[in-house]
Amino acid sequence: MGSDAYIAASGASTQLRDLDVVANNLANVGTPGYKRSESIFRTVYEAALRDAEGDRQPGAPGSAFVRTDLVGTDFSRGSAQHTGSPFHAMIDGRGFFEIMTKDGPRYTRAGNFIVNRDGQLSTASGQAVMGDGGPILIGDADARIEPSGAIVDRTGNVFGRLKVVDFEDLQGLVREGHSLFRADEGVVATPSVSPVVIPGSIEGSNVQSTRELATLVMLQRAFEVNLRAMQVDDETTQSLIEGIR
Amino acid sequence: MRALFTAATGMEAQQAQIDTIANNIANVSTTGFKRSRTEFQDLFYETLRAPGASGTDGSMLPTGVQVGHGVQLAAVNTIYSAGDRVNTGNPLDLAVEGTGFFQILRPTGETVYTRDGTFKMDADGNVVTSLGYQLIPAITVPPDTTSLTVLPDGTVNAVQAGQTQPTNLGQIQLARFTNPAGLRAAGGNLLEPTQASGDPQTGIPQQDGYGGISAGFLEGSNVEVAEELVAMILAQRAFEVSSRVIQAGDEMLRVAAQLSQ
Repeated sequence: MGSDAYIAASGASTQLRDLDVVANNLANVGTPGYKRSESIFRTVYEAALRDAEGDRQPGAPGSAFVRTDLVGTDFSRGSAQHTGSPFHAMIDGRGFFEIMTKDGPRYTRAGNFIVNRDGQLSTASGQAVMGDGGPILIGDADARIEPSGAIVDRTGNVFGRLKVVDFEDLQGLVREGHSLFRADEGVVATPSVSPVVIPGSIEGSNVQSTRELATLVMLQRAFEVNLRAMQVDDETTQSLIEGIR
Repeated sequence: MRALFTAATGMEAQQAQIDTIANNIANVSTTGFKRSRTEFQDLFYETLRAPGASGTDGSMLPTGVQVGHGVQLAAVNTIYSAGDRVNTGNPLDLAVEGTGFFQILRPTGETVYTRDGTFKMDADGNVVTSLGYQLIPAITVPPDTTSLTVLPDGTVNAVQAGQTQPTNLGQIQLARFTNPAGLRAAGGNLLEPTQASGDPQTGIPQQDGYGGISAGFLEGSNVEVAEELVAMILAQRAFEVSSRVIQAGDEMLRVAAQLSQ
């Protein structure tokens, strides 16, 4: 096979990777606070087109290989879903809730909180939600979250205020699963001064199934075209061999 | 071909969602029923390349390559919002206005909890649930009672034949939990305490944040049919899109298999 077949193969394997990304997005179409992943393709030039120093020669013919070099996160906002629960909140604008896990602080946009058996405000999987002064102890008080992020009961007792932090470079956040993100080394969380939350609502997934299905159809066809190119290359080589005989 | 398994987790999650919705809708007219809500989380990620690694041309990559493995069911939470009040006029139909559960004694000896206040009297005059389980603390109504009243603070008064002044038969107490969502539904409108719910604290109605008692009313189900139907449509579509991924993955594998023929 000539290099054409390898170029097509690099494309086909990229489309297989992209199918995994689309599958994960679609599986999480109903996950609160989920942020869709997006494949970013880069063309990788064949080494032979470079000179001895490894620099690309200007005007060299582009025999381009393709691969998924990056899978970025699309941090656009998901739609608000009203739940009516007093401990549910959605951040209106930028920022993340801070969650304390046994491995350190983690960040999430999923505001479907509950009060755990220790009386702390926690995530659906039981990790403490951080307030301005550490975990928020509510006990069995009949409290609710206010638009300022403060948790108050009917008589006006304040139990704490949800901590909302923001990052300058959102792509420095690494996905951990469980709807949590981890800040990569050197990425600093800055507390938001006056965050606004929408109480009684949670942020839905930002996956739009029509858009993902369009990507799915496109990558499927591109995969078929790449395999067809490999087949054509194979047939050409075969007829060349037969011509020599 | 991770995509096939990833899409399968999506379909399983939506199936669990449909199961929950089906149970909610089936209990739309069950007294004291509290609807459930499924909570999803994304599954773990495989990091194929860490952020900050060098690219093929030596440049530092701003993001890595992380591919997720789908979705998981994190919890099925019970939403303890109040249901509508239904007027029945029956003096032993009780509704809790606010926080608190009635305490019920099972024949096996353990205490269980309920919001269903459909109480009745058994042959001995004991106040019992529809299943015949006794209320805690036990209240026995004398046979010659002409009228029975339950006050908002839980006091049960009976006027006996030939008397004008009511007799105090006892006071109903309510229980509450730090995390009521952690209670286990035992069927029959009864809830059992678990490790996650914490221990019950008991108190008198209308005091220390406990709700008052409305006699002659029942608490209806808190299921909103329209809301459940919308959730059902969304779950069905989400199921379909994940199945579409499996189909696409299958076709791509078929094309690849034909190539090698």
